[in-house]
Parts: sequence; C-alpha cells; structure tokens
Amino acid sequence: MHEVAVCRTLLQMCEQLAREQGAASICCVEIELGALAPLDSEALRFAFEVMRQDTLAAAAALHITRVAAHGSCAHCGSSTLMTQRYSPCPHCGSAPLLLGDGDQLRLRRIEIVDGPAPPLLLQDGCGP
Amino acid sequence: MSDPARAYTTHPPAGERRALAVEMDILQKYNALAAATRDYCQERGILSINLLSSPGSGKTELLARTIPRLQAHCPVAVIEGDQHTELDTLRIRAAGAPSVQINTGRACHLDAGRVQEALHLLLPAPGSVLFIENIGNLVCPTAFDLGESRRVVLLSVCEGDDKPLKYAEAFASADLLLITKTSLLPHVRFDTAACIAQARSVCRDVPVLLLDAISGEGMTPWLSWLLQQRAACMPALQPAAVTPLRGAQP
Repeated sequence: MHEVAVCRTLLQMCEQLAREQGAASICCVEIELGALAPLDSEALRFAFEVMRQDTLAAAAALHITRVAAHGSCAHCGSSTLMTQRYSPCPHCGSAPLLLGDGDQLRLRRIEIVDGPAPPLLLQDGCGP
Repeated sequence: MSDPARAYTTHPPAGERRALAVEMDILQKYNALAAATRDYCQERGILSINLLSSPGSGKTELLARTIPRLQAHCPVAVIEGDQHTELDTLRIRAAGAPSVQINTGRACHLDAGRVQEALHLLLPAPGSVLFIENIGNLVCPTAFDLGESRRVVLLSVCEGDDKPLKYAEAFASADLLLITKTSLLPHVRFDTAACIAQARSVCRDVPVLLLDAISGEGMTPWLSWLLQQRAACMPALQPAAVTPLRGAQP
C-alpha cells in the first residue's frame, strides 16, 4: 500500500533535515493531511510506527493535523465544504466540483534533539 | 560503535530540543522528478501516455496492436510496469517496439522515480510516442504523477458500467476514456451510455472511445487521437541545450 512508500519519503525528509542540523534524534514530526488527500491517516500512522525504527525518528511522536476541503462550483459559482471528492454541488446539482484546497500532504515542522547522530541506517532503494 | 542498530532508541536522549519549521510537500521529490520527465519529453517532442486500468482491461493487448499501426508514423517506445515478471515487456518487444520492464515488487503503483530510471535505459527517440503501462490498479496509481503528457484510463465491458463513480479519482484524472473489449458486449451486462454519463459526471467532457483491439473495431479513431495529441506535443525540437535526464533522486 502506498502509505508505506509515502511514510518512507517522509522519514527520509526528516532524517536529512535533522542531520543537516546536527541533531541526535527527532522527537516530533508534524504533518498536515487534507481531508481529501489520497491517503488513509490511520494507515499512515501505522506505517510511521513501524518504519520509524532504526531512524533518527525512532522515538518521535507523529502529529497529524487534518484540514477540511473546500471547493467551488463552475456552474453556479458557490463555494462549499467538500467531504467527498466527486459529490455534485449541493446548491445546483452540477458536477464535478472544483477542489480548492484539502488534498495536501505537507511536512509542517519537526522537533529535534541536538547531539551526535548515530550512523545512517535507512537505505535508499530498499522499498517496501 | 559495536552495534549501530542500538544507537537508535525509543527513549529520547537528554539534550536541547529545537523546532524546525519545514512547510514542504511530502511528495515534492516525486513531483520534481515528474516535472523533469515532462520537460525532457516536451523538449524532444515525445508524447508520453500513462495507461491506467484494472488488471485485465486490455492495456498490453492494445499496445501490441497499436505499435505496428503507429510505427508507420513515428517511433514508439514502452515502459512496462508490473509487480512481477517480464511477460508484458516481452509481448511489446515481439510487437516490434523497444521496451523496459519495471517490477515494483510489493509496491502498488509506478512512481516518477522509477519512470526516470526506465527513461535512462530506454532513451526514446525525439518525436516518439512513449507509452507507460501502469500497474493494473484503479486506486493507487491515480495519485502519482509520472510526468506524462496524457493519461488514458481503460475500462473493459466485462468490468461493469458503474466503475467511474466507484473509482472516481481514477476516471476524473483521464484525458481519454477507452472502453475496451467491445466485441463482448452481446455477452455482458454493460450500459455504455450510463457508463459514459458517470465518467462525465466526474470528468467533465472527457473524450470517450470504444474499441476492441483484437477485432480491430475502433482502432482507427484511437490512432487518430494519438496522432492528434502527438501533433499538439511537437514543439520545434530544441538544439543541443536540452534538459539532461536526472538520475533517480534518493
């Protein structure tokens, strides 16, 4: 499943940032996940719990902020909160709605602990 | 350090904590690779087509039947994606086109990094049509931009006419919907008009073609669409200063 692939990329980003800063470990990873992002948040959290082992984020807490999705209707111009990607416009029934935001997958911030870092173990190319 | 693995601990060490603001798209490395592929193809007048469908919709058969027809007009190259085996790339080579196989193992989709690696090997000629046959899967491949010029979604008449709503993300991303295996229509329950209406409710005005690769029905409009799209993607070819292929990024 691709939550594992995405989590791998996330951990690689965090490790690279932390090592550039001379960190010994990462204690917190905060991400933003849009309500209509093509990922399951619980699967992502499960993948993180497993894959953070043997990385600088082995002890890191993962915080996921969910962001609501908003869209607009090209037919009547109204804006609407979107809970499903391809529902028709609640005002005029036209479809599809144009998604404005709410499909993002962003690394917002990390918290690091300074100190000498252990050697790199997370190898590139060893995919799930 | 005698055991490097022991250096990673679930107990955070004492030390000063610092917050780093990052604000980065987690998939940005893939998006950057997709953009590099897109630039590479645009500069060389290469039309790249990402083929998405369930397993068994007829992607490989369609390519095998398209290659000899299309090669009368331009070079053709194919990147094949499967979890396992080289069966499809062997079929494509037998049909007369160069092909590279990507085996993703447990991964459920192609990504822009793997496509870049395949491009390094394949090096399609300027003015080619490059087909990328994705993993048979109507869910996961949808979210991953491969740097393609056009995305074609296939649905065979054996799969049911209600799939455009059930797998809306895939159908919404289509530049063309191909309804395949049409010679089987007398033997299956498939409401073509309803299926097209569903597809256009999630992808406004999406072009739809019906074809059967084995009987040849509908292959001429498909070829015409490909050649039209290729003409639209053919800039004046740039001289030597073109974007080199980037290596797959770590």
